[in-house]
Amino acid sequence: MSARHGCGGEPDRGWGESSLLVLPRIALGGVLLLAGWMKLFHNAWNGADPAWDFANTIKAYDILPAGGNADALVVFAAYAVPWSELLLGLALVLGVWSRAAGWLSAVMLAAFTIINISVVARGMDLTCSCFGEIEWPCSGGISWCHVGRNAALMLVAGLIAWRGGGRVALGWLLGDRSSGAGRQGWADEE
Amino acid sequence: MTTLIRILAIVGAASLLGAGHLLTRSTAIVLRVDMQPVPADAVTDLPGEPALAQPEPLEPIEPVEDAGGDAPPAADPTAAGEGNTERAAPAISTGVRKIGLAEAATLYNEGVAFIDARTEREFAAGRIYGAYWMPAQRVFTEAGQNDLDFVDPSLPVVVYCTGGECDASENTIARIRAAGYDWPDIRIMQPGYDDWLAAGLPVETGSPGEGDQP
Repeated sequence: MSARHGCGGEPDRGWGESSLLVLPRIALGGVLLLAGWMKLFHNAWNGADPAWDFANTIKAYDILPAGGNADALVVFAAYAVPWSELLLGLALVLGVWSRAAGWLSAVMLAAFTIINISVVARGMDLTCSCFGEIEWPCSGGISWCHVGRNAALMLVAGLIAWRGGGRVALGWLLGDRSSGAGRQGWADEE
Repeated sequence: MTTLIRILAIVGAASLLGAGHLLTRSTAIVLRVDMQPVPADAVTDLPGEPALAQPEPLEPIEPVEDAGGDAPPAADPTAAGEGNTERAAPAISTGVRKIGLAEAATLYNEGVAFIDARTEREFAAGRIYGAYWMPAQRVFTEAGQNDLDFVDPSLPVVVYCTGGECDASENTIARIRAAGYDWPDIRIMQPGYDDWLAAGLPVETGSPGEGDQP
């Protein structure tokens, strides 16, 4: 690894760290892409309506106002959240705006984790709908397994938010140095 | 500041895409009123209903010839149900009540329509012979409503899923009603498909419209 310094004075660990960041970044991006796709498009051409399923799941969480006109917020969330996942997943897989995608993913996953804890604590028997019909590695109703899974993904997102997406990324190729490995947060960015 | 601006840009783009996607829907989303799943120990038999563990023996029902359309080849409720329209069909105030396997089997032999609310994969793996495939997501589709139009509203309609804690039947019923099908007598077969299969009652497999009875 090189000993060069980033523009903020922190050591730029360069290609060595970049190569280590590729796997978690792409893995998290893939998970988010899958989650978004399953919530919006899975089997849609066969008449399925996964967004409706997800909207009902959000409503069942009983965390947003619902009923009557308030259902519009639930329905909007049922579309906006999966689209966020798709955009974040795409950004992470490609390595574009990696640090921003990492921050936002971490915040979103933290929210999911808190919601899951809330569901478990309230003793509710609800399905997650996190990945549509896919239930790996957690199956059945929302449990501590789901909490743990989301927390683990949140840590990965936090890693990317902290360290950036590395140099093995489209953003780096395009000249974006704000998300490179070794940069330390907001202060390094222009 | 770059990261913050990019975060806001992603949030904004996702909101716009979500709103745009929502506007492309041909039908409004009608959310379920009650999302609590049916508990496993929910009441399955009303007074006077036969016990679940003792289904009545069935007369084998001849397969219905495929009409050639895309609709699932259901047992024709209008043909097989003749003579039953006068039969009393007590229903609770909501118009939906849960029934056991024995009553479902009796209704089946009387030719009422059965609606399978499970996923396509589950439906293809095995279903009540002649059942319509109608998960909640399919109700508002053109194909789904074409199938629903075949159902005779003067007869009871039985909806089922996997049984136990499955709530797909209630999802489907909620959507059917939201779609304007004002069927007066809808019943949920509480035991589910697995119990039907275990009882040796008529089943078939295959993708929707490609059924073949084993």
